[in-house]
Amino acid sequence: MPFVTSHLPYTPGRVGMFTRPMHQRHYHRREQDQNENDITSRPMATWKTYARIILAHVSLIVLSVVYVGFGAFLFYQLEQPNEVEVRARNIERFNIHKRQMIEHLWEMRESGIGQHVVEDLAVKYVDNVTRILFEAFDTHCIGAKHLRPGGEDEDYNWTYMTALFFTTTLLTTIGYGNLTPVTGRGKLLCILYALFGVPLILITVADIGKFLSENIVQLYTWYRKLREKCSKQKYSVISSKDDKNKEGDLNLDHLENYISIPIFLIVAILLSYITFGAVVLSMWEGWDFFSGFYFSFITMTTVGFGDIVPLKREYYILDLCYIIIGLSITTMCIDLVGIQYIRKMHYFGRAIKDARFALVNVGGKMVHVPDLMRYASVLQQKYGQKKTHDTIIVKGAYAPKDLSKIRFIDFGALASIESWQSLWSILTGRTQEVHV
Amino acid sequence: MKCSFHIPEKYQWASTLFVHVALIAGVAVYTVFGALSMQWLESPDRVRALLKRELKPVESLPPPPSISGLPDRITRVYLGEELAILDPGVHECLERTILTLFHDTKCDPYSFEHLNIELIDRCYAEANVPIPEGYGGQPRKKIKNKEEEKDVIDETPAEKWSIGNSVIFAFTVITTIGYGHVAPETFEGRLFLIFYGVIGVPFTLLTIADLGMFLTRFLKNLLTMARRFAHYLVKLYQKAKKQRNKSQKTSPVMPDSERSEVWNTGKEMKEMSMRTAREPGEGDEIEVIENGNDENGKEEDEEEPENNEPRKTEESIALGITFTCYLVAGAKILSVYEPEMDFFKALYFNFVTLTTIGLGDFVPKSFDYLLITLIYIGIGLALTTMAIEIAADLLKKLHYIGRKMENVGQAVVWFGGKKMTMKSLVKHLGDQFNIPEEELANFDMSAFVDNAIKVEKGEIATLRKPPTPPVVFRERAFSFSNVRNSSESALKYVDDNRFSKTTQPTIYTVIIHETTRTIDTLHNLADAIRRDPSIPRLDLDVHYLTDMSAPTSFDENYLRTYTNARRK
Repeated sequence: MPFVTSHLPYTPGRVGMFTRPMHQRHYHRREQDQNENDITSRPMATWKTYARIILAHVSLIVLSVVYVGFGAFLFYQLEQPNEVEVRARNIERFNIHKRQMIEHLWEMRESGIGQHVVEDLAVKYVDNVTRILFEAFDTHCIGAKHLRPGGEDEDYNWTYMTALFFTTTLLTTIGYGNLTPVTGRGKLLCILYALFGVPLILITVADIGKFLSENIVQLYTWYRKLREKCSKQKYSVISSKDDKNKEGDLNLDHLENYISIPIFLIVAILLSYITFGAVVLSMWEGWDFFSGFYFSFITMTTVGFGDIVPLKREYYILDLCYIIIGLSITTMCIDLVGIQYIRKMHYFGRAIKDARFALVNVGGKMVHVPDLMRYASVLQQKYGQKKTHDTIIVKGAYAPKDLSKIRFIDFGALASIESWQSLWSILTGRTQEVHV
Repeated sequence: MKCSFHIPEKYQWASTLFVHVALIAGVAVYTVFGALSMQWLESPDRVRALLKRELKPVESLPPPPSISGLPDRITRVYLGEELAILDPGVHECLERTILTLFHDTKCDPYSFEHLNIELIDRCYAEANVPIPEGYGGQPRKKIKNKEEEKDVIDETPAEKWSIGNSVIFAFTVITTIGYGHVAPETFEGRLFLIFYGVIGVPFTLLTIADLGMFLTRFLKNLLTMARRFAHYLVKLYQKAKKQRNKSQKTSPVMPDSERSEVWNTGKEMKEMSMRTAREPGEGDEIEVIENGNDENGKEEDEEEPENNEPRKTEESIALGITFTCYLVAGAKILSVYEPEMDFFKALYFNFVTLTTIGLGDFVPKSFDYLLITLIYIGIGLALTTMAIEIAADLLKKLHYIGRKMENVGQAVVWFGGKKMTMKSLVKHLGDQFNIPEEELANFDMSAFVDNAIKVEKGEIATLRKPPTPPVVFRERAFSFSNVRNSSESALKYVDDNRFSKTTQPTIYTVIIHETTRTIDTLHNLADAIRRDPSIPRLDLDVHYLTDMSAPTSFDENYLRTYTNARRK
């Protein structure tokens, strides 16, 4: 019996010791969570955050606008003098031949040469003047209005506004071709200018498209939530279990919404924008609806034939705004839908080999997958199953590793005669009652 | 749509090639289909019908002054002197016709005019035959004023939509180049073009992007070969240095061995990750993945120490050089077989075409070399697509500047053609490493990513926590006093010799507290036993009891002192 009494007081101490560190751990976690909340909830200046976000994008757009404007200025400076020179030369040539024809005919008539000879010569002169005129038209620098007296300085092709239109369509790779650089220096400038400008404009347009795609994703998620709320209100009689299941479904739907938006919606947006543009352009330029639609389509896909081109110069700025927004919408569609299909097609029927080089695009920062694995190994060491190959040899009785944490009763107290007698009386009395 | 797993490894590569070749062939067939359709839709009969329709409303309305329509047929007009030089027969023919006219008509004005026109036209019609042969050289030499001006090209409506022009037109539509040298004029033609473009443009861009990815891989292989060669040269240089400086052998050896160990651990972790990414039931792919691992493992040893940014810089520089060489070489080739283009104009044309600007001031003319030109344009567009991808990465960085990371767990990781969210990826990793699910549930993804990025930048050494030193037990016998000394508690025990003399009052208090607590627990246990008789009695361990029965710290003197104190 004294063995039993000595064994009983050992176990409650153990139990008590085990529970305390777990509680302390939880407490530490709560403290850490509170600290994190404090860090995140610090009141940072609102204008600073917005300025930091917007500044890069605004500066990119401003840089693009300045680049386009400067390029327009350069092309205007290079090509406009050439146009003036070509026009003046052709008009002068035309006038000279015309004057020669008239003078020569009058001389021949006064000299009394036969009528037939005069007529043949007149026909030759008229044909020659006509040829010179058509050659002048082929340079695209002269029109019918320019041959009238006093009309020589009207409507040059290369004004600053038309040059601006040219540079914008050049850098967006639409390239109508209604205006083209003719001089050698103009062509060289075109190559260098587009070499640096095309990536800049594509990045800017894609940046705007990225914003549009994000906004559409948000709007679509809100639409989904609203629709589901309506459906919930209709079927409010459903029991709690069904509600829980629906909550799980909602989470899954949320994930799916984030990944894919239906193609029908994107195509509808694209077609509606093109239709809107067709209506507006037909009002401005005097085209019919189908011509406007055709022009919008050719422009949004950056094919840019140039068979139909806006001619009203006062609407050029509005035309350019329409074109840039349209290209952003096209980029948005490609961003939402196209990239997935490209990747799936490229890696069709192929095993995963490039997992090592897979990049995680998280908030614009690229993190390699190996970094994930390193952190996972840290987690393993902390919480995973530990394989301890080293065996600790202890002489004597078995001793658990956390023995140092266990506090147990001092035998000095038990050795006291009075405490011993009191324990004995308690236990013996209880057991006797049980037996009765 | 996946290949069946029963296909052996030999044919798997063939199936992938088949898909890509089918895409390219599809683009070619689609181009030819578009060319033939446009040729039929824009045939001369339709154009004439359209002109007839359009003539009626034009008559009703006054024509605007700005319209300056050019005729369909552009003709070159020659002076009589020029024709005499080109073809002497014309002059003789005209002399004969004039003499015969004088004799026959005898200066009757009506018959003279009528007969004169027919006969003279016949002479000129005969004279037109040799003009195309002598078109290139002779008139330019003799007519000096015309050298600076452009050459006027004779085009009839029938030749406007020739096979060559139609093919060029269709190809430039679906690649969005769009020269505009020929364009549809009829309503049906334009409507067909819209549908043709809607289907063809995405399909072609998909194919070109696919081709671009293959070129990217090829370029990367070239880069790795160049890097290995440079590394080999560096090794040779280092060996030469070592031979010169033999005394400094031992010092650089140690860090290399440590690095190699780190790399080995990296390999193991990556192999484990590959297993997690594997789907169950795909037995055939395992071997392929293992082979891939071996290849990747070899590459890792060389590429691991370098950072990501220099690699991308190298790739972009290599791409720029490749693109420039491609433009220049193409310009030289084109200038050989295109009649209107010299080197500079060909370079200008190539640049305008490969950036899909397509101004249309220069258009390929020779029909014999058309296929070469189109293939050149296709490959060039693939190179441009590679550049656009690099620009896209730059775009993402710009777009997210100054922005806080959101929805980190839902970020999508592309493993080749398959994607997985980061949250699920980390979960699978945790399952692989037997991490408890509670920790994974509470795992903070965004904080992890922040720390990982800092490690990459070098602000933090590692995310690895320092290991706790293991507790080493002594070889001598177990004793409670030693255990008490190693424990962290502030409790003071009676049998410790260093405390027994100086602090007796504290010891008394502690003893009383412990005793009362023990008695309370015993009372509770007794109550529990009484309430539930079914609780079995505890089994006694013999070894345990033997140890407990011989306490080493028993002290009779202390017992007497305590008893006396209690009595008082």
